[in-house]
Amino acid sequence: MIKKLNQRDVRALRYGIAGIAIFAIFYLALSGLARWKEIRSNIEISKGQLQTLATAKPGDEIRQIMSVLKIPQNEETQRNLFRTEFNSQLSRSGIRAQPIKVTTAEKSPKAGYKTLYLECKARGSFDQVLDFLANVNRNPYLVGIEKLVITKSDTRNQMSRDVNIEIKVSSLVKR
Amino acid sequence: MGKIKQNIVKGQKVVAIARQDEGFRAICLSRKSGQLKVLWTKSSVANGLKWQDFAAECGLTGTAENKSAEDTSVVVGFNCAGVVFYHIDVPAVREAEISQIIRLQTESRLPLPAEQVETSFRTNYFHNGSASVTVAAAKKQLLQNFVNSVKDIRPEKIMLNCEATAKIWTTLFPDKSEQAVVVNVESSISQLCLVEAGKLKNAVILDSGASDFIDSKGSVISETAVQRFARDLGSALNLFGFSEKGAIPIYILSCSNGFAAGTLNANEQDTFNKIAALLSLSGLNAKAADFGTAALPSGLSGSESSVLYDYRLPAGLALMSLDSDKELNIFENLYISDTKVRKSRAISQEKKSLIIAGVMLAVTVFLFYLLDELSAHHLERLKSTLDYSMLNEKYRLSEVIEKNRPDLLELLGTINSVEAGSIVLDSFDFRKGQAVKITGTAQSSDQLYKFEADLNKLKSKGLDKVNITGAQEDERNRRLKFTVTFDYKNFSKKQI
Repeated sequence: MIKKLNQRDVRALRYGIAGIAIFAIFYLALSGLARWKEIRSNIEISKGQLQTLATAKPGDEIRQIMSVLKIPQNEETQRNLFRTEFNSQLSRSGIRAQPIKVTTAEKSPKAGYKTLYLECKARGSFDQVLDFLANVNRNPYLVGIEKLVITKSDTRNQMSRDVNIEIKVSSLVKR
Repeated sequence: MGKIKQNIVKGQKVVAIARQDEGFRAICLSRKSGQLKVLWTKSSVANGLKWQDFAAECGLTGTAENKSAEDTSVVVGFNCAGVVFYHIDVPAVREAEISQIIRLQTESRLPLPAEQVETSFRTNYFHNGSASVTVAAAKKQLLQNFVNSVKDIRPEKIMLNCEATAKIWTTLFPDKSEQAVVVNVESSISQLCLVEAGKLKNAVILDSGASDFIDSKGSVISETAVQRFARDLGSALNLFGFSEKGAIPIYILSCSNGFAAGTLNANEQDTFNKIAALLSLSGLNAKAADFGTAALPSGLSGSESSVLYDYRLPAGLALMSLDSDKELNIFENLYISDTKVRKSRAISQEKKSLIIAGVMLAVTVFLFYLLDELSAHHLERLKSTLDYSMLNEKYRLSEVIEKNRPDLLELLGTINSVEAGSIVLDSFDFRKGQAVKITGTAQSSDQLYKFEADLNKLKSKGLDKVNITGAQEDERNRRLKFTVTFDYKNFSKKQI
């Protein structure tokens, strides 16, 4: 049988309940604060990341590169895609290219990738070379021009616009 | 009907009203800088008069707010008929525990169920590990009836007349015995108050009063009545715990024949001396209080003290109120003054404001939290919608490409922009990690040097360290064949 609680018991019970309630509120408040802190930290990180992308304004060189760039594929795919596009660009400019030599290097300007090189000799007019250079940056697989040697094909004829070129371009491939 | 005699003094004022000698009596006391002043008094024969009628006669018709604005509080006295007093010695423990003990002890003594009775107690003093406690108890209905009759006056407090008697006795005769029985003889009743250390310890009301043994001229009319009064006094002393009649001094506060306010005349004083002498014959240690020996409270003249004596019940109540004495508040559960209600409302309002402020704070904090939570979700969704990781990877690659991609079209345009005169370029050689090399022919050395100098001016375009690394005359056409090298941006630096 439950003994009837006297005033002292009731008071002790009240204090106990109040203590538990305070502890629970304190615990919940601390947990909530920790969760809030984590959320705010995530917001800051996300904002920072999006800010980085947002600061690349239209017209920026990075934005122009991003607009045509395609994420590098594995070596075989990337090699075919890059070579086809590069050869097509030379042809469109009217430059007559000799067979393209493909090489790869482990060294890369970006971790997680290898470097793929295309190299060839070609012949065309100086204007065609300028046209090619104007369009080469639209190659979605191009990383950089490693070498470009332009020499007059006939040094004796000052009026001749024909040039020989040696060009080496690079791309990235996934490891 | 008496007239109001009024002095104007600014400061804390108390108007006390009590029934005394079959009529109403009111006094207005003020205390400023410790100086007591009697501002006005008023008395009236009851004759069917109600409390609020008498209060109206006293000009107390304003609301509680007006009264407080005037810094005046009103107190009324209850005549103690039907109030039972007990004196109990309890162990000296905490107030809350004393309260429990008192409640249990009082309940066992009461002739009525506890729920029909109102009680109040006061700890008078502590001595040898015990506390001397005075308890007052009365039937709830009786008290409620009284509250109903005075509530329109909106008094600040309702106090017991017995306590007023003890207070006035202590104020006017402070050097008297530590313990005494003070008998306040009214026309038809007499209050017997056991006063100890200036506080009421016990009290009884006797049904006999001055009209039983004094005629309208102030002469003793019946010695038998006085003797009967002496027997009643003896019984009361027995009730107070004094088995020996002469063990405690009894002081009789005389009345001015009960009906009119005014100073006590010599004839009346003689009458009470005679009554005291008759009581002494019965073995009682009785004396008539001699107003001639009364002390004058600070600020009061002799005549004002006399008024205080004549209006002793309301004056005692007013003094208790001014001194903020801890009284036996038997009306605590039945009557709440406007001031207390206002205070309680103010506290309750303050609590409400605090609770509202707390809730608003909590809601604000929660809203901020919710906004952050939603923002985080929104940003995450935005990132996933944009295929953020792909975009980010493209961005990082674009950064690398920007650093590795020379703008050779721009470089050729820059070289071509130099005012070259008759200089003809034969070759252009760009290799990453090496200086850019251009070859050509010039008409003269001057032209070549000018060409070199002009190229040197193109640092803003990324050209640096321009040097003529070779110059030789071509014998066939007498032109100067030359080679010029320069660094172009970061591309000429050795690649790591």
